[in-house]
Parts: sequence; structure tokens; C-alpha cells
Amino acid sequence: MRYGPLCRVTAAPKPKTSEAHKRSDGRTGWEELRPVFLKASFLSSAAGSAYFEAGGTKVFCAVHGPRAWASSSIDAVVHCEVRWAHFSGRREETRTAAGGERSRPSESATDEERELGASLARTLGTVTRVEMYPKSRIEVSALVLEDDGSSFAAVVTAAALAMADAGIEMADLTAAMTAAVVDGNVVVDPNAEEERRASGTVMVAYMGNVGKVTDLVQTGEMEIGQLAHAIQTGCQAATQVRGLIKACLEKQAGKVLKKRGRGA
Amino acid sequence: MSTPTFSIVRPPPPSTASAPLSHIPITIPGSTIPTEDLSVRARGTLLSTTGSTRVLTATVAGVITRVNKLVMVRPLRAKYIPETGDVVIGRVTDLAGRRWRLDVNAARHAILLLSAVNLPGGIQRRRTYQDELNMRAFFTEGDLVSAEVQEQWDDGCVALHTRSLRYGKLSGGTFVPVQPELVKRAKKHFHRLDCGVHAILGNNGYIFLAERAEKEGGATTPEMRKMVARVRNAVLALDTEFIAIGPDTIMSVYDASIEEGVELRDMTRPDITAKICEGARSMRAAA
Repeated sequence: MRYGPLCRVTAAPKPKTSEAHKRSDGRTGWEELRPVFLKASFLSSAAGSAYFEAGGTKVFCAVHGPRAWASSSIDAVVHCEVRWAHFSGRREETRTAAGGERSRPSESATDEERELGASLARTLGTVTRVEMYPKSRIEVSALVLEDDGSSFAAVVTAAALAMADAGIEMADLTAAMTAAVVDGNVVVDPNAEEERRASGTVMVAYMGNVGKVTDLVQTGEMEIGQLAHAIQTGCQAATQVRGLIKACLEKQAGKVLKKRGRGA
Repeated sequence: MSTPTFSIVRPPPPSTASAPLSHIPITIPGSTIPTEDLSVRARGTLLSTTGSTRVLTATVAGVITRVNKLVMVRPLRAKYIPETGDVVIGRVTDLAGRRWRLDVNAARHAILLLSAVNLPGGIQRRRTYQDELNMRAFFTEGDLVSAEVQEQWDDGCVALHTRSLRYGKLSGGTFVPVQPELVKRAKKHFHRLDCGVHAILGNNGYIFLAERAEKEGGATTPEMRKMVARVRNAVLALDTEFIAIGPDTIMSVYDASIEEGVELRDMTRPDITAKICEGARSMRAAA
């Protein structure tokens, strides 16, 4: 690929290259993920920020705060806003339908964006130690620049990295992965084409070290056996993505410490 | 159904640039911190129980620091943590009943009570309703104010005061935000630098530079302006290089930039910044 430090996550016994397992973007196994690129701290104005890319899916995420907030609850409130860019290549139909005008896409969030924002807030509220930041609010905004499938999983992963980059206390890092049932097969990290053909998808956000699922979003239909398999493989793949977040954070830490002259 | 096991296949690293850092214990949220049983936990750690085993995990990305039996994780980037007696600079964000709220680069806003400012005339008297109505005449939204941390309240808020002629509204100068850990607590935070520029080094990492110590502005010359700009760029250079900011280090960078004949606008270029900060770095290393 074109960008810097890329990692390829793949199933350990590399599946045999057969036409049956060939996927539309050239991957050779149902469990193979797309190449991942991660970067933290690229926005100077935000407390923490992250960029996540998996194949054609590209997501920005920024974290602001914690800031003082007069809320009814003692604990911190995590407020999330998830948006798909107009040029992201998806959701255009739903957006124009909600906006009413066909020629100009509406600026306000669609119902789906609002729902996924609430879902992200739930996930981050679980992993963040909200009791450490009384009466404050943490604002997370994510923007999907390009949508080539599994975009909400990418949003969750990017948000976790951005939260860690902002130095907000968390019980564990969470990473997310989507699995879809396409033609009766459980396919991990589906692209846009596979997502369209899928009879059902399941997105699972998983804390690799603690071993807890923080969010589970299922759409469409699938058999119960397939669901269990999809969740299991999704968790395992998410654990690997967590490893990539870890590597990214450690690299970032190394960069900061080197500048401080502590590494010499 | 067989479950696949995932593994990460990496391209070979381009260079071993991070090798000298390998001895620093860097950790990330959720990672286990190796400890003995009697360790005392401090910030950035969480005792999690899985089954019957209790392990200490980190909750922030940072460096594991141990002081005897105390174990903590120091985050890479930190907000300002106020302490009573600190000199800070704040920006007024809003007015509430009998108080101003200021952004002081901390996790929460600081509060400046109407009863904690000196009223004009210097007399001590009860604050009346009339004073409350006139609050915007002292400080209004967007104003920069130098103040001292008076006390920390139980709910984590800090209260400031400006009950000294040194403190008050700042104008006619330049505001520079830096990382708060670079400004050390010292006896003196109001300095007149050797070049003639007045600097207020706030403990919260907010720095104010002006040509004169008086609060009111006035006529100025282009030369003075350039001098303030050079001091500002020197402070920014120290911030980029992560060197503690004090009058000595600022002047070291300032003098080095003049000696090298560096143009004002070039001072923020990374290669030049590193060069002009060499003297300041050795100054801090010797101390």
C-alpha cells in the first residue's frame, strides 16, 4: 500500500489460495483483514486525535476535554458525534431522503448517525473511568472520510486510540471488528461490496486484556451458530487490532520521550 | 467449527530508531504492571480482579514510575494540576453570580470570586449588589488575568484571587501557551528579562510577554515589538525542545538566536530551533 507503517493481520495457518476463498478485493481468506494504518496526535487543537485506515475505509477521530460541565450526574459524560462525509461513498440516499432535498445533502445528522453516536458513547462510557472526572464532559467527534465497509468498527477503534492519546483514564483499550455472513460464510472485516451482499452483519467491540465485550451491533439475519462463530472470530481479530493500537501508542510515547531527551 | 488464530505480519522496520528507548517502561491502558504484593497504587493504575487473581493494570498511556513501593503511571501529556500559591494566567470564559470563570488549562475551570479581587480605591468593604452589576467593568469574557491560586475546594474546583497590585488584567502584550510541566514553581514568576521585556510565567503553562510592567498599554516602537516577538519565539522553541522555561533559558535562546543571526520568522524552523536551544539544554543538564 501507499502509506507508512502498515501491518497485515491474517489468520495464522494461511489458508490455501483457492478461487472459492478469493474475495472481491483480492484477499485470500474469509478471516483475512485488510491492511491497517494508524496514527495518533496529528491534530494540535484537540486533546487527543487518531486516524484509522483499513483498506479503503478511512476515519478521523478527535477527543476534546474533559471540560467542566454542569451535568446532573457526578460522573463524567462521554458525548459522541459520528458523521459520514458527503463524499464517503455511502449513506447518500438516506441522507438526502432525511434532508428532503435531492440536490443538496442535509447538514444535520441522520437518524443512523445519531444512533451510532449513542452506541459509541455507550462503548466509551464503559471503558472510560468516568468516576475519575467528576462533573465534566468528554467530547468525541469522528468523521468517516471514506467508507469501504466495516466503518463503524473503524470509528470505535479510532475513538479508543484518540481517547488513549488524550490521556483519559480507561480500564482497557477497546477495539472493534465487523463480521458478515456472505453466501453462508462468516467473513471478517467485510468491504463495502461484501457488506451489500451480506445477509447479516455483526460488529463487536472487545476489550482484549480484560476480556469483555463492550458493544455488539447486529443487523440482518444469521443462524445462531454463525452468530456465535462471528462474535468469537470478531473478538479474536479485535484483540489483534488492539495490539496495533498498542504499538501505535508505544511509538508515539517513544517519539515524545525522545524529544524530551530521556531516551539518550 | 474451527476457530482461526490471528497473527500480525509486519513489514521489516525501516530503522531501529526507537532502540535507545527500550529500557523505559512504557505502558498503555489495560496492560498489566508487574508488581510485588506490597506495592502502593497511585494515579494511572487500577487494581482489577479476574477470578481469584488480582493484577495491577495501567489506565493511561505513559511511563511506569516507581518510588520505593509507590507505583504510578505518568501520562505523556498532562493538564495543569493546580496547587495553592501558584501564579497562573487565565482567560475569562464566562461570568456567573458573583464570580468569574477562567480557563487555566486545568481539567476544570477556575473560579475568581468577586470578593477575591481588589476593588478600585484599594479600600476593604462589603461587596454590594452594585459591584455585582459592574463586574464586566473589571474583567469581561476573553480577558487575560494574572492571579494566584487561593484554595482548592472539596469538589475539585480551584479558587483564585487577585488581591495584590501584581495581579490583574493583562493587556498590550503577547500570550504564549506552553506545556505546563515546563514552568517550574519558583519564588519569582514576574520577570524583567535582560533585554527589557517583561514576562509573566504562569505555572499553568500560560505565559504573557509585554514591553512594560504596567497594566495599561501605550505607544510602542517596531523595535520593541520585534524584541517581544523574538522572546515569544524563544519560548516556543523551548516548548518544542521540552526544556524547562525560566528567565535564564529564555535569554540563552534569545541571545543564541541573535548571535547566529537568525531571522525572527526562522526561529520556529525545526533545525534552527534545535540549534539555538543547545545552550539552554546544557544549562538545564548542568543544574
